[in-house]
Amino acid sequence: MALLDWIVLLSTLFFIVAYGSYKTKGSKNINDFIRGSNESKWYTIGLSVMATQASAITFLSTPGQAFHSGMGFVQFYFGLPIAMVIICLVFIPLYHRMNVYTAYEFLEKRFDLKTRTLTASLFLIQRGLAAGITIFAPAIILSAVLGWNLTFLNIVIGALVIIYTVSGGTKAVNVTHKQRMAVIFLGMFAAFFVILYSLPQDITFNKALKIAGASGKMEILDFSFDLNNRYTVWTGFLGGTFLMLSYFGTDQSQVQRYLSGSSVRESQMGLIFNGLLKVPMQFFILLVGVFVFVFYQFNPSPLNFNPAATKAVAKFRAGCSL
Amino acid sequence: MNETKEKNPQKWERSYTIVLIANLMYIIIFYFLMQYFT
Repeated sequence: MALLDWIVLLSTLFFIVAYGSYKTKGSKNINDFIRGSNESKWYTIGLSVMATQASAITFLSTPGQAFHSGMGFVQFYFGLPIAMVIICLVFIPLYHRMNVYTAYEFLEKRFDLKTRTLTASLFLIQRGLAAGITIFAPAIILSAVLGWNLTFLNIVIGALVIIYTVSGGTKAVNVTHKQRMAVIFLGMFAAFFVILYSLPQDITFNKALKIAGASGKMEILDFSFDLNNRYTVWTGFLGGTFLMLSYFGTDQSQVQRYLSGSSVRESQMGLIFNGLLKVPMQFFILLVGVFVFVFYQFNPSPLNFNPAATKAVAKFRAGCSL
Repeated sequence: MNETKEKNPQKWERSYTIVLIANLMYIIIFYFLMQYFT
C-alpha cells in the first residue's frame, strides 16, 4: 500500500471510532444506551438500517454473484418494500405502544418469559455467528492487502467495533453508520468508474452492457415458475417479503435501529427510505460485478483473485521444487 | 415519544403508496434494460 492508502485507511478508522465515541459520550441510562435517547431522525434511521444490512460481505459477494451469475440476484429484493410497509403499519406501532426495548421483550409481554428467553437466545447465537463472518470478510481483504496475519486482523477489527458500540450504544452505531454509508457509496462509485475507465477506449458504457448481455449477465428478470431457479420475480416477491419481514421486523440488530426514532413517524419514514433506495443500491452493486466481468473479457483474469492465496501457492510450488 | 402527533400510526400513508409504485417502476425499468441489452 502507498502512503496515501495508509492515510485514508487509518484516518477513516480513527475518525469513525473517535466521532462515534465523542458524539455519544454521556449515555446515562438504558434508554440512552439501547434506544439512543429516542432522538434519531428518519434519515439517520434509514441510513443506519441500510448500513446494518450492508456489511462488507455485501460489497464482496454481491459483485461476485453478478460476475458469476448476472444481475438476477436483484429480484431477491423485490419483497423488501412490501415488508417495509407491513412493518410500518403493524410492527412499529406495536413496539412503540408497548414501549419495548427489544423485539423479544414484546414476546414476553404477549406470551411469557420462556418465549422471550428462547427467541433472544436464538438471536444471540445467530447474530454471534453472523458477526464472526461479517468481521472475517473485511479481515480477508485487509490481510491480502497488508499481508498481515488474518487472526490478528480479526481481533483488531473486532476490538475497534467493540470500543465504540460498548462506549456509545445504539446512538454511536447510528451516528457512525452515516459515515459508513458515505464511505461505502464513495468506494462503490470509485470502483465503478475505475473499472469503466479501465475498459478499452472503444468500449463505451452501452457496448459494455451489450457484451454483458451477450454473455447472459443482463438477465435481470425471470418470470418463470421453475422451482429449480432460486431467483425469480415470484420468489423475490413471496420469499423476499417474508424473509425481509423476519429480518427487519424481528431481528434486534434492525429493530433497535428504528426503536431509536424520535417518533413513530420518524421510524416509519426511516424504513420507507430504506425501501426506496435498497433495490437501486443492490442493482448498482451488481452492476459493478458485471463491469468487472466485462473488464476481464479484455484482460487476462488471475487464476486466484486473492493475492495472499496466490503467494501461498507460489510458496508451496517453490517448496516442492526444492 | 411524541404521542400528540401520532393519533393513528397504523393509518395508510401516501409514502407507502409511493414506495410500492417505485418498486413496480424499478421492475419495469429492469424489464426494458433486459430487453435492450440481451
